[in-house]
Formats: sequence, C-alpha cells, structure tokens
Amino acid sequence: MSGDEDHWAALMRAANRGDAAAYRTVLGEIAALVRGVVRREAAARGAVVDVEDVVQETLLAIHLKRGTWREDQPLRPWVRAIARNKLVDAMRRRGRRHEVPIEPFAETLATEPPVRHGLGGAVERLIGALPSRQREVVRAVALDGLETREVAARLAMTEGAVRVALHRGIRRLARVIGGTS
Amino acid sequence: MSTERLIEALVADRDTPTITPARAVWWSVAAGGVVAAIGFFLVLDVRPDLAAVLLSWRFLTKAAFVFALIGVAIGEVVARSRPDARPDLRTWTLLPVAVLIAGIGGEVATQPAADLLGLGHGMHPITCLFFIAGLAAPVFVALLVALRWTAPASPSACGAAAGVLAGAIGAALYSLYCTDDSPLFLATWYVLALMPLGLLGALFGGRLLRW
Repeated sequence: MSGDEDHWAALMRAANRGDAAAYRTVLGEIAALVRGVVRREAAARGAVVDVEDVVQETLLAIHLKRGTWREDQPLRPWVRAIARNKLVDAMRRRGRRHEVPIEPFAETLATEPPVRHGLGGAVERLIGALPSRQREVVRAVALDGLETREVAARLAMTEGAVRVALHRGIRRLARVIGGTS
Repeated sequence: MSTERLIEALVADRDTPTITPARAVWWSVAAGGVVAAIGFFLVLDVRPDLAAVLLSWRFLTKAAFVFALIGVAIGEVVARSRPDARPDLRTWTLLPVAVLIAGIGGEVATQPAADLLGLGHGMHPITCLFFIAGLAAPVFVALLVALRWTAPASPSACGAAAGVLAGAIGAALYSLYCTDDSPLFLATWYVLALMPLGLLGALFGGRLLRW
C-alpha cells in the first residue's frame, strides 16, 4: 500500500512541477479508482447516480483544488475525501439525503473502465452552455484533442488568452455542476 | 464527454496557478490587516500611555492572549480548509484559554475582591465590542473570499475558525487602544466580541465555502 501511495504522490508532485504525462497518468488512475468506488457505493444503497458524472465532478474538483493537497502527505485520503463530497452532492441532488460511510473508500484498489466512451452526460451538456469563447476553447482541447498552441492558431487568439479561457471554462463547469453559486 | 477528454482538458490547464490554503490565509490576513490598521489609526490610534504599560503583566497577558489566539486560529483555518481535514479540535487550541485562566488567577490573587466586578466591567465595554467587530470586518471578508479557492471538509467549521481569526486580529489592533487592562475585562468583553464573529463565520462559511 505504501509503495502504491508513494507512486501516486510522486506522480502528483511531478504534475505540480508541470509534468503533463505524470498529470495525465495520475488523473487516469484516480478516475479508475473513483469509478469503482462510486459504482459499488451507489449500487449498495440503491441510489441512482450517473457514475461517470460523479467521476468527472471529482476530477474537476481535484484539478481546481489541487493546492489543498500537501506534497508531503499521501494522495489517496485526499482523493477519497473529494470523491465522497461529490458523491454526497450527487445523491443530494437526487433528492435524498445520504450519509456515506468512509469504509468503502478505505481499501479499494479496483480500477474499472468507464461505461461511456462517446459524448453525453452532464459535463458535455454544460460545455454547450458556456460563453462562446470558453466553449470553443474547451471543445477544441477536450473534444478535438488540440494543444493550446494549435487552439490559439485555429481561433486566432494568443496562447495566453486560450489558457485563460480554458481555465475559466473549467472553473465555470465545476461551479455549475456543483449547483453552488 | 468522455472522461479521457476531460482529463486532456485538465492536463492542458495544468500551468494555471492553484492557491495553497496557507497562502490564501496569509494573503487575507495581510490585506485585511492593512485595511484594518489604516482604519485603526484613522479612528482610534494608540493609547497615549502605551510605553508605560507595555511591560506590565496585565498588558502582556492581553498581548499573549490575542497572539496565541491568532496563531491557533491561523493553524485551524489552514487545517480546516482541506477536504480531508479531521473534525476534532487539537489540544494546542486550548493555549489562549490557558493564558486567560492564568491571567484571571493573577488578577484574583492581586486585586481586592471588592474591585473584581468593576474590573471585569471595565470603562468601555461597548466600545470594545463595537470596534473589535469593526476592525475584524476587512479580514473576515478577505478570508471568506480567499477560502473559496480551498476545499474545506466542513465549510461551516472552516468559516467559524476564519471568523475567530478575523476577530483575533481585530482584538490585537484594538488592544493597542484599549485602556481596560484587567484580564477579567479580557475574559468577558474580548471573548464576547469574538463569539458572534465565530458564529457569523460558521453561517457565511456554510453557504460560501461549499465546493
């Protein structure tokens, strides 16, 4: 367990230094872990949640709040806490109050593949509702897989403006999904 | 959108700065503190006999209380602004209370019993309540804004700690003006000024710091 934990923390530290590959890897592994936990947890209490939506909300929160992880601490408890928060949110939105016990999150190593590979889901719908510049940039990066440099060329923007639009778009997505403010 | 695509967008956004809880707190304390200090020197100013009382044990008790409270509150706000924060209070949070109790003990031991009630009431209790809250306000607002970038496990607990921190900074400034030096006054009116700030912090935090 500690070896695995070190591996995650090392990836996240590298990501914090700007290592794109490390960030991609750790987010992918986190997604798999959260997916397995949310699926089991939702099934266990007969709750209807879109598992992939919760996974994506968790990833958004992890990305935007990554400053709240301390580099000398293990990553997994922090990820579990965020996933739990997002699952509770999703269940609450379904109109039922749920207390999520911490145990199912405690020792989960299962990694599960996503059900959905195409488009659809809450995040996709919300991207459509973003202000036009943010929408174009988020789509170009997320759907067409372009680099910020390429997006800048395509949309006749500076790279800095692309970064700003992307970041604002991501923040807005996270806010709108959470239904807070 | 597939999760892989979302991850690509997040990876592309990785260079944007994130704020650590410690930095959020220090910046709000610095920015709010400067505004509060300007207000303090415009409206109140330092008591004229500050140099004379600076080393008296009662003034030092007051200073020790507010600084211990600032230290403890900063630690609590930072710790509670994380998603995996533990809900329990740690032992060191009792430090300001210990200072208060020691001060009360000293006062009761050295002052005639008949004077204690008057010392506790002091000369300017309402001024104290009013100005501590007023001087706390800029820090309070700055903290609630900055903490929105963090992810507190319990938004109301984090907000309460932020309210107490803002109050402690207001109290630190006010203590430079305040001529009621009795630890009994401190234990009554300073504490009474801090409580509603903690409560307001919990109230606003519960609404504004959800993520």
